[in-house]
Amino acid sequence: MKTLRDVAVGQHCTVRKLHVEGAMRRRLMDMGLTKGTDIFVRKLAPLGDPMELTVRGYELSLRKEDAGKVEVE
Amino acid sequence: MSVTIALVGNPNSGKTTLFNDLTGARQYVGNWPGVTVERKEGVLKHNKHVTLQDLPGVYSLSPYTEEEVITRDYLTGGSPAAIINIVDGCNIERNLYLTTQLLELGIPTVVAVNMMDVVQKCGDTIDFGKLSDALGTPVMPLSALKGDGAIAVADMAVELADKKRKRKDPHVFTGAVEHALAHIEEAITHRDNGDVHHHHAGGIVHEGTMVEPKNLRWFAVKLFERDEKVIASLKLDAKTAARIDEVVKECEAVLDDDAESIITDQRYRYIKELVGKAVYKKPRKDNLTTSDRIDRVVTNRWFGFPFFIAVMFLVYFISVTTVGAFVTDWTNDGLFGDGFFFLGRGKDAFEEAVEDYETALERQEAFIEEAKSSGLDPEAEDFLQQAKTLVAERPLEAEDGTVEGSERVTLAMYVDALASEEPEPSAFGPWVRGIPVAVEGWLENAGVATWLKQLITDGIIGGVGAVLGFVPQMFVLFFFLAILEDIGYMARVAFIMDRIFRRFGLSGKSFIPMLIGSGCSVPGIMASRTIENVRDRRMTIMTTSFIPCGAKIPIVALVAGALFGGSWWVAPTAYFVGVAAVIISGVILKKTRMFAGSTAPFVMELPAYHLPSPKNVLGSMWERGFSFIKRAGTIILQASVVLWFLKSYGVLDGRLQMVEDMDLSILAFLGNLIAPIFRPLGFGTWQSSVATTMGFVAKEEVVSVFGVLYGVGEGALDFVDASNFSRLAPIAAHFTALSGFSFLIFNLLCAPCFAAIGAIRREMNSAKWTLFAVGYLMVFAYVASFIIFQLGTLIQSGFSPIHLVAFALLFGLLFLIFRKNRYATSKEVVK
Amino acid sequence: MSPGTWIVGIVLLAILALVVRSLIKARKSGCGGSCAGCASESYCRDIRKKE
Repeated sequence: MKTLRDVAVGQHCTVRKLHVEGAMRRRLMDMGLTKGTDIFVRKLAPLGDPMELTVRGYELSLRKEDAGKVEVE
Repeated sequence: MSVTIALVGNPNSGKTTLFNDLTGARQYVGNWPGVTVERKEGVLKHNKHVTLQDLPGVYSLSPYTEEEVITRDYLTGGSPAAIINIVDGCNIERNLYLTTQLLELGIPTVVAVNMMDVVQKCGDTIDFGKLSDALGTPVMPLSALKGDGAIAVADMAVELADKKRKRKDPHVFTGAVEHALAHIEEAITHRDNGDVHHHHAGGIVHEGTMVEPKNLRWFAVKLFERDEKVIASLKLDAKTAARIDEVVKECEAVLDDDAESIITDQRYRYIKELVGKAVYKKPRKDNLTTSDRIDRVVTNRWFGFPFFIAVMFLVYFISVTTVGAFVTDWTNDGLFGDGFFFLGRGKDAFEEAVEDYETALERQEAFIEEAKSSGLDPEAEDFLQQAKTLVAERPLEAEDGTVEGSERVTLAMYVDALASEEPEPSAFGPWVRGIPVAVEGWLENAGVATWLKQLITDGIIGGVGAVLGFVPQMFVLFFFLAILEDIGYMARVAFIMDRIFRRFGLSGKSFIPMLIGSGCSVPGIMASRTIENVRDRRMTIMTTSFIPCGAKIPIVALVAGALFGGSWWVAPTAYFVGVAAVIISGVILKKTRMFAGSTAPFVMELPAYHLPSPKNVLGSMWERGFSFIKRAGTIILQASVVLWFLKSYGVLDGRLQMVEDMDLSILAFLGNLIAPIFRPLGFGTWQSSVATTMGFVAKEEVVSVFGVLYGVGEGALDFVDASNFSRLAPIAAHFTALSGFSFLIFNLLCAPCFAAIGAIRREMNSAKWTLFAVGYLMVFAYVASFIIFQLGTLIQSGFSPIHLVAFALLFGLLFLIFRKNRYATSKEVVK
Repeated sequence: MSPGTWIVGIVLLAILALVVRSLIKARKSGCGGSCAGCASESYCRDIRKKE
């Protein structure tokens, strides 16, 4: 399974499935990470974590740990 | 007739700016009952019948965060007659997501698309007609920062509230979902009649039908999503609940997804289609906005940290050392001290004169010393005659206190020196007397008794003034922090620091409170508000006061000066101890049941940078700063009076009276009572106990109490400044290096001053948690000092039974740090 | 005691009484007692009235 954390900086990907439940799942979806959404991985923070993403035209930061639960293609 | 209009929108959508535009100064700021989410209410500037209620910035109306629950409870509670939904025009897709949820509430809504100036500048266009038609509600342009369109939006909201016309719902969901929603709506309207159903928190009682007709769609969607809070509030009977469950399951089977995802997904699909039709985005050349360009440097892999350190240094430097210190010095020495020169005129000349006068005094002293040692009597009539050939040596000191040669003092110089008089400041320029001096003058003229005069000048003005003295510095600090917040840099700080702070159970957002806490714990603790996660916030509040605040620095300086000859390493050690305490506490606390659970998710928007709005910045600075002034006028005032009484009165000759010698005061008596507690830490004298206790009123009191109680005088710190360490000998005599260090550690780590405890109380919003926080700080400080002092004596003077206790505590501490985290949840499960 | 002492003393007592009263009021209003001097003071009174 390829997850968001495996996507290299400067690459695009598309959300397939969220492997989380409850509040975290809802939060990710509320922020626009729904099935089929295009994500662009902009950069990593100076210490390599969290990641900075472009989703639906805005900047979102997400920890790698959480990004590992977002299945992408 | 008065109406209430609610202002709802995403964080960073310009809600505060619009609110300030519309209400001006007429607003109340406060917290929502029971939670520390800020609540603002104000009356419209141009229409006094309308109250505007600012709601917390939310991304959604999900049941998972405090802000969201507050917002939905408020909106479904029935109080607002209309909603102004502010939408960021630069980020319209995600912002409209909340709009689709708001429209289901059945409350008249006007959608205000903000930041139109930026949108137009980018060359983008928005078709407001199409948006209005599709959403079935007015959509209007707005540029809150410039104030364009604000009044039109407010007027439209008032108009909608008056008309109460039925609105067409937008077609957000597809057939299968609409079908299910229709069934749910039917199920909750046609239910068994008779009993009364209560609605939670909102406080509205619905009779007959389960929900108000206008809210019907909202409840249907929430029931479809299996929103636990709504299900609980409706108290559905088993039959209805089963029917709804059946409908939802059917729909889930058809669409092959869970209900919550179906709803979210379809909302975004709808918006995407709508935005595709109504918003034209001009293709950008290099796909970079100004904000992106700034971010390329600010959060850059290599420049990110240096830039961050530079910004923090600058903010801290300006507010604490330069501008802030300048104003603070003026307040402390001028306004609440002897006085000051208006606009500084005549100040230099006066200072020069003071220096000359001091030199003259030193010459006199040196000459008389010399005369005495050569057997002459300075009191003799013909002393000048006798000392004709006498020449004295006066050492010349450089600024750092080292001796740099000497000066010969002859009789002529001595006679000159005798003639010099103490300079009078008013002779040098427009001298304004400080408040204590002026008040003392008035009181004297009024013939007020000495005790009352002392109570007012020493007790009240001294005590309140000490706190007010810090206000200017706070204002400067708050000013800069408000700017950093307003332009959007704080989110970047959290982004950069998260990796480090997560290691010990905190989040990147915890850094900001600690940084501010290095100036003063009170605003630091208040800044913890930005942390949404309750557990992270509590932990941050508890550990923020470990970072030495500005008022603890004098303690460090005094101990360093009196006991360690002003060694350079003491001050850095203080900060190191503070940071270590934060880390150790983070590691210990995250393994306790209270803070158990997985680390909170860190899903944070990095908002686009924008220019700060002067109104927002100044407003925020004033709001935070003014609470200090109020505090000084109430709590500190009371404490000062009580304290002055305790230290000035004692039982002498069998009756209560004013005592000169503080050893006889009530304060000394009380100090002796608690002194045994501190004995195992090496400073069990009543003076240290009183100093430590007084530290709870204000940490700077520790030093002034020491000065007074050990007879060094109030100016103990001046000796430290001048490196005149020998004058601090009376303090040094009561301590060893070890007990002094232990005293320092305890005072650095123990509970903060009352003002900060008050802030903890406010931010925790729970007496139990406040007690726990204060108790934890005290125990932690006690254990740390105990271990340091006792193990120190073990090395110095050999074993005694108490060292076993020290070892037990040390091992206990190490166990708490290194034990396995029983409450760690596996990575896959996130609650 | 001189008249000056009396006057100043009474004024001071009055001020202290006012401050104590405001502190007690703040405590009663349910903001946890620390809200005299906090920004939400006026708000506290507001909800008090509504209740």
